[in-house]
Amino acid sequence: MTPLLEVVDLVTHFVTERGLARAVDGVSLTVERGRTLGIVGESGSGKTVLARSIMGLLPRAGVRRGGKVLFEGQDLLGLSDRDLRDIWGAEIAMVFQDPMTSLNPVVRIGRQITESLRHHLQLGKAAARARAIDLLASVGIPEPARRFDQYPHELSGGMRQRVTIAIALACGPKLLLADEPTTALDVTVQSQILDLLQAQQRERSMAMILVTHDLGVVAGRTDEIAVMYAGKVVERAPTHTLFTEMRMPYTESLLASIPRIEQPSHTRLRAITGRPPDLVHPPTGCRFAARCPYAQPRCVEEEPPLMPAPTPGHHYACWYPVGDPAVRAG
Amino acid sequence: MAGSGTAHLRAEGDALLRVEHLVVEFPVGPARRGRVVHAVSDVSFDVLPGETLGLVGESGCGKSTTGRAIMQLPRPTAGSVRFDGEELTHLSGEVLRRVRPRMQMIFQDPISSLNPRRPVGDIVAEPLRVWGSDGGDAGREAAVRQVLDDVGLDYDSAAGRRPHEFSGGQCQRISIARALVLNPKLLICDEPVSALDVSVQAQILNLLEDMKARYGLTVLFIAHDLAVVKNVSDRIAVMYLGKLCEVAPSDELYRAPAHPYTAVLLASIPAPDPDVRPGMAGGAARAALSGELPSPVDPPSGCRFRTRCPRAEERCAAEEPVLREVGDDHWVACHFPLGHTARLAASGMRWDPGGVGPRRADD
Repeated sequence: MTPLLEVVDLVTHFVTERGLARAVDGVSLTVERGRTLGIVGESGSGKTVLARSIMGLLPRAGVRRGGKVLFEGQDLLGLSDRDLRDIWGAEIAMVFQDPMTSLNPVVRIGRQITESLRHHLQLGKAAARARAIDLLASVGIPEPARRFDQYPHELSGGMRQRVTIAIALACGPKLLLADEPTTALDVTVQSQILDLLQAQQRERSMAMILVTHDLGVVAGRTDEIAVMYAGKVVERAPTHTLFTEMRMPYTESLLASIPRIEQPSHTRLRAITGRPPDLVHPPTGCRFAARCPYAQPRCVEEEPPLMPAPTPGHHYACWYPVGDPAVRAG
Repeated sequence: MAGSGTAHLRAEGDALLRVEHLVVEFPVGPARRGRVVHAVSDVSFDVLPGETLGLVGESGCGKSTTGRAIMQLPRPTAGSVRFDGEELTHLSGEVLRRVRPRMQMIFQDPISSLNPRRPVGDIVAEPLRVWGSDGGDAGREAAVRQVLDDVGLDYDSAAGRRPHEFSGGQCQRISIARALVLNPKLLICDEPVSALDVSVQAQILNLLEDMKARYGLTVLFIAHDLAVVKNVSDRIAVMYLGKLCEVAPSDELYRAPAHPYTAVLLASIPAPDPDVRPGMAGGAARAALSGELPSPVDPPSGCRFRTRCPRAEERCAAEEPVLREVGDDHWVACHFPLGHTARLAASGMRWDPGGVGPRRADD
């Protein structure tokens, strides 16, 4: 059986005045039906561009693309905008970081939900309204019939994000792309929204890609994680394996930089020094080498490929992986 | 939560900053109706020299308003703010202006808090220019060079560039340099890392700790993320809807949260560990917070947290809880605190170092 989503050697380069910016540079990944994939990386790692490339949301001009995005075996990269429109919302839906800018401020919430119901499912006005109110209730919005007629500014940030989730779920998509869905929200609201996404994903046996900069957000809520750095996937593993057997020093550094509530106060954080490389002129060799505490001469000369680790499904791109005593001693 | 009270304040002469019964209200709607947003309602806390006090709570709890009210931006509606021996709320404009170099602030969005048209060197030198520092241009340049070096930026490559040429983390370094160039005593940090990635957040938190040591700073650290606040703070005050819920030393607050809201905040932190199920942070399962923040225009009676509190009873609606001590320097404003009932009953009378004399622990 073909996987739900198969991304093969995806390339997205932007034409800029300074040259080609290699935002996504040969990424391959697979998402099976009903599974959850976390994509983790810093700002500028290419994770948002990757999500938008999968969805087909990038402009045609000024963008060089390559590779394949196979959704149920069909390559989305070859589709026209008109054909993509039948897939957006109906097959693949997206939730964005900032609910205030992703909702239309001058359109009532109800109409923003019924729009796709009427277009994709050809529901009548009354049926669409009833379905939208059910959806608002299912994403935990109190008094859904009253909220149906309100505008986005009348809701709190957390409630707005619930509305964008209701819009995304409206037509029962098979894949939900959530790009930093909780970054603009408070911690208490963040956990409510993540719980909601997880519950809906299970209930509908929908596949989900959760994009975030915070390993804490994906730790308890995904089946698999791909770590991105400078446009590439540098480690990919089932979630539990990633945390217990991580091999890529970047993943280790990303985890170490999170302040832990269980540590005594004034514990010095292990920050990653420096900044991600310039994607117009990426360094030769491993792109993380300049910031890597374990870098050796080979790392700056030769780029490590994504190689398989002993655990099935675990891949990493490093010549001197974490937890490999023989290599470290050398 | 809803706690008022001042029993948790330390001896008056010891504190660099002492805020008592702070009230900030903003009018809403037509003036004749007299409706107000109760942003901060009777909040008291103090910060000792060299201490970092963390002020934590959700959006809308009044934590940023508290920070700004200390700076007298705008002046609070009522209450007292004593800083470095002076009562700020009564000071006239010019006298207040002379106090301001000793208290500086850094903000959440590092890019919008820097003037996009000015080179970084000028931005950091501006406070010196305003205050007419000694040494003229050369003296100023030396001071700016030093402070940029302290925050990890190179004067020769950074001073001539404008803010948009820097990343968010670097802009926050510039903001910190601008705040430190006048050698302030108190630094108020309002969500300084919440716009930053975790990797950059760690750099900035470490930098703040370094700067605190180098410049001998006292810090009020305002943020919504309890894990971040705990990392830098000696003592933490938890705020909800304009009131204090709990005040305790950082490690104690984590070890034995007494207020149900603090427990919710702790449980909401996403644990970077796949074996910890969401909602289990801190080692014990805790209920997630349901519902929405009530309107600060018409806050609930009694304890303001009662509408969302799993432990609320009738008394919570009728009577506002006052901050009382439930452990060593551990204060909570709750009628039914978590895990402390037995200890409270056993403690009976205790001496209050605040100077009010003997006092029942549960009054």
